[in-house]
Amino acid sequence: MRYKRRPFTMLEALISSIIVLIAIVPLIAPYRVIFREERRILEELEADRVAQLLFVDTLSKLLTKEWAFPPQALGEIAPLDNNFSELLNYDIYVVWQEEELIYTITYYFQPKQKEERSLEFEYFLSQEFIDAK
Amino acid sequence: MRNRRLPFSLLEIILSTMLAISILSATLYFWRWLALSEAKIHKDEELAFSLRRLQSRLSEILSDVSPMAINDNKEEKSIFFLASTEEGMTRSPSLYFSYYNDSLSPLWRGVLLGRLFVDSEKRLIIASWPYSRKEDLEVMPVHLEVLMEGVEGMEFEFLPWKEEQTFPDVKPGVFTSNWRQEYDSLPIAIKIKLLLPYPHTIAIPIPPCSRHSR
Repeated sequence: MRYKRRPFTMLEALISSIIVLIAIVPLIAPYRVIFREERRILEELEADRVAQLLFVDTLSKLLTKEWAFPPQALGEIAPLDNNFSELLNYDIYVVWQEEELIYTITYYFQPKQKEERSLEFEYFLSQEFIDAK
Repeated sequence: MRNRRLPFSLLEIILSTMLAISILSATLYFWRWLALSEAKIHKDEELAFSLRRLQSRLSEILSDVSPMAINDNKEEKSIFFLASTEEGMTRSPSLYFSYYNDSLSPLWRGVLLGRLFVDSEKRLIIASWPYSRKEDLEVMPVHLEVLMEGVEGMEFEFLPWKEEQTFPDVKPGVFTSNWRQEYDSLPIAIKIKLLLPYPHTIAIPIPPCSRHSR
Protein backbone atom coordinates (compact mmCIF):
# COMPACT_ATOMS: atom_id res chain seq x y z
CA MET A 1 0.00 0.00 0.00
CA ARG A 2 1.33 3.37 -0.93
CA TYR A 3 1.91 5.93 1.84
CA LYS A 4 -0.25 9.01 1.45
CA ARG A 5 1.22 12.20 2.99
CA ARG A 6 -1.06 14.10 5.39
CA PRO A 7 -1.55 17.64 4.02
CA PHE A 8 -2.69 19.38 7.30
CA THR A 9 0.21 18.69 9.69
CA MET A 10 1.49 22.29 9.90
CA LEU A 11 -2.00 23.71 10.19
CA GLU A 12 -2.68 21.30 13.03
CA ALA A 13 0.52 22.33 14.75
CA LEU A 14 -0.39 26.01 14.41
CA ILE A 15 -3.89 25.42 15.76
CA SER A 16 -2.43 23.53 18.73
CA SER A 17 -0.03 26.40 19.43
CA ILE A 18 -2.84 28.95 19.32
CA ILE A 19 -4.92 26.81 21.70
CA VAL A 20 -1.97 26.62 24.10
CA LEU A 21 -1.50 30.42 23.90
CA ILE A 22 -5.20 30.99 24.54
CA ALA A 23 -4.99 28.62 27.51
CA ILE A 24 -2.29 30.86 29.05
CA VAL A 25 -4.65 33.86 29.17
CA PRO A 26 -6.76 32.67 32.14
CA LEU A 27 -3.50 31.87 33.93
CA ILE A 28 -2.23 35.44 33.49
CA ALA A 29 -5.50 37.31 34.06
CA PRO A 30 -5.87 36.80 37.85
CA TYR A 31 -2.22 37.74 38.45
CA ARG A 32 -2.74 40.98 36.59
CA VAL A 33 -5.67 41.83 38.89
CA ILE A 34 -3.76 40.70 42.00
CA PHE A 35 -0.71 42.79 41.07
CA ARG A 36 -2.85 45.85 40.37
CA GLU A 37 -4.61 45.48 43.74
CA GLU A 38 -1.32 45.02 45.58
CA ARG A 39 0.15 48.08 43.85
CA ARG A 40 -2.97 50.08 44.78
CA ILE A 41 -2.59 49.09 48.45
CA LEU A 42 1.08 50.12 48.35
CA GLU A 43 0.17 53.49 46.83
CA GLU A 44 -2.53 54.06 49.47
CA LEU A 45 -0.06 53.29 52.27
CA GLU A 46 2.44 55.67 50.71
CA ALA A 47 -0.26 58.35 50.39
CA ASP A 48 -1.04 57.89 54.09
CA ARG A 49 2.63 58.46 54.98
CA VAL A 50 2.87 61.48 52.66
CA ALA A 51 -0.30 63.07 54.13
CA GLN A 52 1.31 63.05 57.58
CA LEU A 53 4.45 64.71 56.18
CA LEU A 54 2.35 67.34 54.37
CA PHE A 55 0.42 68.14 57.54
CA VAL A 56 3.61 68.52 59.60
CA ASP A 57 5.12 70.80 56.91
CA THR A 58 1.90 72.84 56.96
CA LEU A 59 2.27 73.29 60.74
CA SER A 60 5.86 74.41 60.25
CA LYS A 61 4.90 76.97 57.55
CA LEU A 62 2.08 78.37 59.71
CA LEU A 63 4.34 78.69 62.74
CA THR A 64 7.12 80.45 60.83
CA LYS A 65 4.46 82.75 59.23
CA GLU A 66 5.61 81.61 55.80
CA TRP A 67 1.90 80.98 55.21
CA ALA A 68 -0.88 83.27 56.39
CA PHE A 69 -3.67 81.71 58.40
CA PRO A 70 -5.70 80.29 56.78
CA PRO A 71 -3.55 80.13 53.62
CA GLN A 72 -6.59 79.92 51.34
CA ALA A 73 -10.32 80.67 51.45
CA LEU A 74 -12.24 78.37 53.79
CA GLY A 75 -14.09 75.61 51.95
CA GLU A 76 -12.18 76.13 48.70
CA ILE A 77 -10.47 73.12 47.17
CA ALA A 78 -7.05 74.13 45.85
CA PRO A 79 -4.17 72.13 44.37
CA LEU A 80 -1.30 71.75 46.80
CA ASP A 81 2.17 72.72 45.66
CA ASN A 82 4.34 69.82 46.81
CA ASN A 83 7.21 67.55 45.83
CA PHE A 84 5.32 64.28 46.23
CA SER A 85 2.82 64.38 43.35
CA GLU A 86 5.50 63.49 40.81
CA LEU A 87 6.52 60.41 42.80
CA LEU A 88 2.99 59.32 43.62
CA ASN A 89 0.19 58.32 41.33
CA TYR A 90 -1.97 61.08 42.80
CA ASP A 91 -2.65 64.81 42.37
CA ILE A 92 -2.99 66.41 45.79
CA TYR A 93 -5.61 69.01 46.72
CA VAL A 94 -6.28 70.66 50.05
CA VAL A 95 -9.32 72.24 51.65
CA TRP A 96 -9.50 74.26 54.88
CA GLN A 97 -12.66 74.32 56.93
CA GLU A 98 -13.85 75.60 60.25
CA GLU A 99 -16.18 73.57 62.46
CA GLU A 100 -17.14 74.83 65.90
CA LEU A 101 -13.91 76.79 66.45
CA ILE A 102 -11.77 73.89 65.24
CA TYR A 103 -10.00 74.25 61.92
CA THR A 104 -9.69 71.15 59.80
CA ILE A 105 -7.36 70.51 56.89
CA THR A 106 -8.34 67.80 54.44
CA TYR A 107 -5.91 66.48 51.87
CA TYR A 108 -7.53 64.91 48.82
CA PHE A 109 -5.44 62.49 46.81
CA GLN A 110 -6.96 62.29 43.34
CA PRO A 111 -5.59 59.36 41.30
CA LYS A 112 -4.04 60.23 37.97
CA GLN A 113 -5.68 57.09 36.55
CA LYS A 114 -9.46 57.37 36.62
CA GLU A 115 -10.18 53.77 37.63
CA GLU A 116 -8.42 54.15 41.01
CA ARG A 117 -10.28 55.53 44.00
CA SER A 118 -9.52 58.89 45.60
CA LEU A 119 -8.32 59.19 49.20
CA GLU A 120 -8.81 61.82 51.85
CA PHE A 121 -6.96 62.49 55.08
CA GLU A 122 -8.35 64.94 57.60
CA TYR A 123 -6.43 66.73 60.35
CA PHE A 124 -7.46 69.31 62.88
CA LEU A 125 -5.84 72.36 64.39
CA SER A 126 -7.07 73.04 67.90
CA GLN A 127 -7.88 76.50 69.21
CA GLU A 128 -4.83 76.20 71.49
CA PHE A 129 -2.60 75.97 68.43
CA ILE A 130 -4.36 78.83 66.64
CA ASP A 131 -3.92 81.04 69.70
CA ALA A 132 -0.24 80.15 70.13
CA LYS A 133 0.66 80.66 66.49
CA MET B 1 9.61 -6.33 6.47
CA ARG B 2 8.21 -3.21 4.91
CA ASN B 3 10.26 -0.02 5.04
CA ARG B 4 7.69 2.52 6.23
CA ARG B 5 8.35 6.26 5.78
CA LEU B 6 7.80 8.71 8.64
CA PRO B 7 4.52 10.65 8.24
CA PHE B 8 6.30 14.05 8.91
CA SER B 9 8.95 15.75 6.86
CA LEU B 10 12.16 16.95 8.55
CA LEU B 11 11.18 20.58 7.97
CA GLU B 12 7.87 20.02 9.78
CA ILE B 13 9.61 18.43 12.74
CA ILE B 14 12.12 21.31 12.97
CA LEU B 15 9.37 23.93 12.73
CA SER B 16 7.22 22.17 15.35
CA THR B 17 10.21 21.86 17.70
CA MET B 18 11.02 25.57 17.27
CA LEU B 19 7.42 26.47 17.92
CA ALA B 20 7.29 24.31 21.06
CA ILE B 21 10.57 25.79 22.30
CA SER B 22 9.24 29.33 21.67
CA ILE B 23 6.08 28.65 23.63
CA LEU B 24 8.02 27.01 26.48
CA SER B 25 10.52 29.89 26.58
CA ALA B 26 7.75 32.49 26.68
CA THR B 27 5.97 30.59 29.45
CA LEU B 28 9.14 30.17 31.50
CA TYR B 29 10.02 33.87 31.01
CA PHE B 30 6.56 34.83 32.17
CA TRP B 31 6.77 32.63 35.29
CA ARG B 32 10.20 34.05 36.10
CA TRP B 33 8.89 37.60 35.70
CA LEU B 34 5.91 36.67 37.88
CA ALA B 35 8.12 35.23 40.63
CA LEU B 36 10.45 38.28 40.61
CA SER B 37 7.55 40.76 40.61
CA GLU B 38 5.85 38.84 43.40
CA ALA B 39 9.04 38.90 45.48
CA LYS B 40 9.52 42.65 44.90
CA ILE B 41 5.91 43.51 45.71
CA HIS B 42 6.06 41.29 48.80
CA LYS B 43 9.19 43.11 49.99
CA ASP B 44 7.66 46.56 49.28
CA GLU B 45 4.47 45.53 51.07
CA GLU B 46 6.37 44.32 54.10
CA LEU B 47 8.19 47.67 54.32
CA ALA B 48 5.05 49.75 53.71
CA PHE B 49 3.03 47.84 56.32
CA SER B 50 5.91 48.06 58.83
CA LEU B 51 6.13 51.84 58.34
CA ARG B 52 2.35 52.18 58.64
CA ARG B 53 2.31 50.07 61.82
CA LEU B 54 5.21 52.08 63.26
CA GLN B 55 3.56 55.41 62.41
CA SER B 56 0.29 54.26 63.93
CA ARG B 57 1.87 52.89 67.12
CA LEU B 58 4.03 55.97 67.70
CA SER B 59 1.05 58.29 67.07
CA GLU B 60 -0.92 56.29 69.63
CA ILE B 61 1.83 56.41 72.27
CA LEU B 62 2.97 60.00 71.70
CA SER B 63 -0.59 61.32 71.82
CA ASP B 64 -0.66 60.14 75.45
CA VAL B 65 2.49 61.76 76.82
CA SER B 66 1.57 62.25 80.49
CA PRO B 67 3.17 63.68 83.59
CA MET B 68 4.75 61.28 86.05
CA ALA B 69 6.40 61.65 89.47
CA ILE B 70 10.01 62.59 88.84
CA ASN B 71 11.36 62.82 92.39
CA ASP B 72 10.64 61.81 95.98
CA ASN B 73 8.56 64.95 96.50
CA LYS B 74 6.06 63.48 94.02
CA GLU B 75 6.59 66.47 91.75
CA GLU B 76 5.00 65.55 88.44
CA LYS B 77 6.31 66.45 85.01
CA SER B 78 6.05 65.01 81.51
CA ILE B 79 9.28 63.37 80.52
CA PHE B 80 10.33 64.01 76.94
CA PHE B 81 13.92 64.31 75.80
CA LEU B 82 16.49 62.92 73.40
CA ALA B 83 19.60 61.15 74.68
CA SER B 84 22.66 60.62 72.53
CA THR B 85 23.73 57.31 70.99
CA GLU B 86 25.46 54.86 73.33
CA GLU B 87 28.35 53.44 71.31
CA GLY B 88 28.13 49.64 71.06
CA MET B 89 24.71 49.55 72.75
CA THR B 90 22.48 51.51 70.39
CA ARG B 91 22.62 52.57 66.75
CA SER B 92 20.58 55.74 67.26
CA PRO B 93 19.81 58.44 69.79
CA SER B 94 17.14 57.40 72.31
CA LEU B 95 13.90 59.28 72.82
CA TYR B 96 12.68 59.06 76.42
CA PHE B 97 9.08 59.93 77.24
CA SER B 98 6.44 59.26 79.86
CA TYR B 99 3.11 58.05 78.49
CA TYR B 100 -0.18 56.70 79.68
CA ASN B 101 -0.60 53.01 78.89
CA ASP B 102 -4.04 51.46 78.98
CA SER B 103 -3.47 47.82 79.83
CA LEU B 104 -5.43 45.01 81.47
CA SER B 105 -2.40 44.18 83.61
CA PRO B 106 -2.31 46.38 86.76
CA LEU B 107 1.50 46.48 86.60
CA TRP B 108 1.52 47.96 83.10
CA ARG B 109 -1.53 50.20 83.45
CA GLY B 110 -0.92 53.88 84.09
CA VAL B 111 2.00 56.15 83.33
CA LEU B 112 5.10 54.34 82.05
CA LEU B 113 8.55 55.51 81.15
CA GLY B 114 9.27 54.73 77.50
CA ARG B 115 12.44 54.68 75.45
CA LEU B 116 12.50 54.56 71.65
CA PHE B 117 15.81 53.44 70.17
CA VAL B 118 17.56 51.14 67.67
CA ASP B 119 19.58 48.44 69.41
CA SER B 120 22.87 46.93 68.28
CA GLU B 121 20.95 44.15 66.46
CA LYS B 122 19.23 46.74 64.23
CA ARG B 123 15.85 46.39 65.96
CA LEU B 124 13.71 49.47 66.50
CA ILE B 125 12.41 49.02 70.03
CA ILE B 126 10.17 50.74 72.52
CA ALA B 127 11.25 49.75 76.03
CA SER B 128 8.79 50.55 78.81
CA TRP B 129 9.21 50.62 82.58
CA PRO B 130 6.50 51.09 85.25
CA TYR B 131 8.75 53.76 86.74
CA SER B 132 5.99 55.45 88.75
CA ARG B 133 5.62 52.21 90.78
CA LYS B 134 9.31 51.85 91.57
CA GLU B 135 8.67 51.99 95.33
CA ASP B 136 6.42 48.89 95.19
CA LEU B 137 8.82 46.79 93.12
CA GLU B 138 11.98 44.99 94.16
CA VAL B 139 13.12 44.51 90.60
CA MET B 140 12.10 46.95 87.88
CA PRO B 141 10.55 44.92 85.03
CA VAL B 142 11.00 46.04 81.46
CA HIS B 143 8.73 45.43 78.49
CA LEU B 144 10.36 45.39 75.04
CA GLU B 145 8.24 45.96 71.96
CA VAL B 146 10.07 45.39 68.68
CA LEU B 147 8.47 47.70 66.10
CA MET B 148 10.76 47.02 63.14
CA GLU B 149 13.83 45.00 62.20
CA GLY B 150 16.74 45.72 59.87
CA VAL B 151 17.02 49.40 60.87
CA GLU B 152 20.53 50.76 60.37
CA GLY B 153 19.90 54.00 62.24
CA MET B 154 17.39 56.68 63.11
CA GLU B 155 17.40 60.48 63.17
CA PHE B 156 14.89 62.79 64.83
CA GLU B 157 13.58 66.23 63.96
CA PHE B 158 11.31 68.01 66.44
CA LEU B 159 8.94 70.84 65.60
CA PRO B 160 8.63 73.36 68.46
CA TRP B 161 5.48 75.49 68.57
CA LYS B 162 5.93 77.64 71.66
CA GLU B 163 8.60 80.17 72.52
CA GLU B 164 11.14 78.76 74.99
CA GLN B 165 11.98 81.64 77.35
CA THR B 166 15.35 80.25 78.44
CA PHE B 167 16.30 78.75 75.06
CA PRO B 168 15.98 81.47 72.42
CA ASP B 169 17.62 79.26 69.78
CA VAL B 170 14.46 77.09 69.79
CA LYS B 171 12.17 78.87 67.35
CA PRO B 172 8.53 77.95 66.73
CA GLY B 173 8.10 76.27 63.34
CA VAL B 174 11.81 75.56 62.81
CA PHE B 175 12.75 71.90 63.06
CA THR B 176 15.46 71.07 65.58
CA SER B 177 17.45 67.86 65.85
CA ASN B 178 17.53 67.80 69.66
CA TRP B 179 14.95 68.06 72.41
CA ARG B 180 15.87 68.71 76.03
CA GLN B 181 13.95 67.90 79.19
CA GLU B 182 14.47 71.51 80.31
CA TYR B 183 12.14 72.81 77.60
CA ASP B 184 8.79 74.03 78.91
CA SER B 185 6.64 72.40 76.26
CA LEU B 186 6.40 69.34 74.05
CA PRO B 187 6.98 69.55 70.29
CA ILE B 188 3.91 69.65 68.08
CA ALA B 189 5.32 67.09 65.66
CA ILE B 190 8.26 64.76 65.16
CA LYS B 191 9.87 63.59 61.96
CA ILE B 192 11.75 60.31 62.20
CA LYS B 193 14.17 59.37 59.46
CA LEU B 194 14.78 55.62 59.39
CA LEU B 195 17.77 54.18 57.56
CA LEU B 196 16.56 50.86 56.11
CA PRO B 197 19.28 51.27 54.68
CA TYR B 198 17.63 53.79 52.29
CA PRO B 199 16.11 56.66 54.25
CA HIS B 200 12.36 56.66 54.85
CA THR B 201 10.80 59.50 56.82
CA ILE B 202 7.64 59.29 58.87
CA ALA B 203 5.93 62.21 60.58
CA ILE B 204 4.04 62.05 63.86
CA PRO B 205 1.79 65.00 64.76
CA ILE B 206 1.33 65.37 68.51
CA PRO B 207 -1.79 66.87 70.16
CA PRO B 208 -3.22 69.48 70.19
CA CYS B 209 -2.96 69.01 66.40
CA SER B 210 -3.52 65.55 65.01
CA ARG B 211 -5.42 63.37 62.59
CA HIS B 212 -9.17 63.17 62.76
CA SER B 213 -10.19 59.62 63.56
CA ARG B 214 -13.78 59.77 62.42
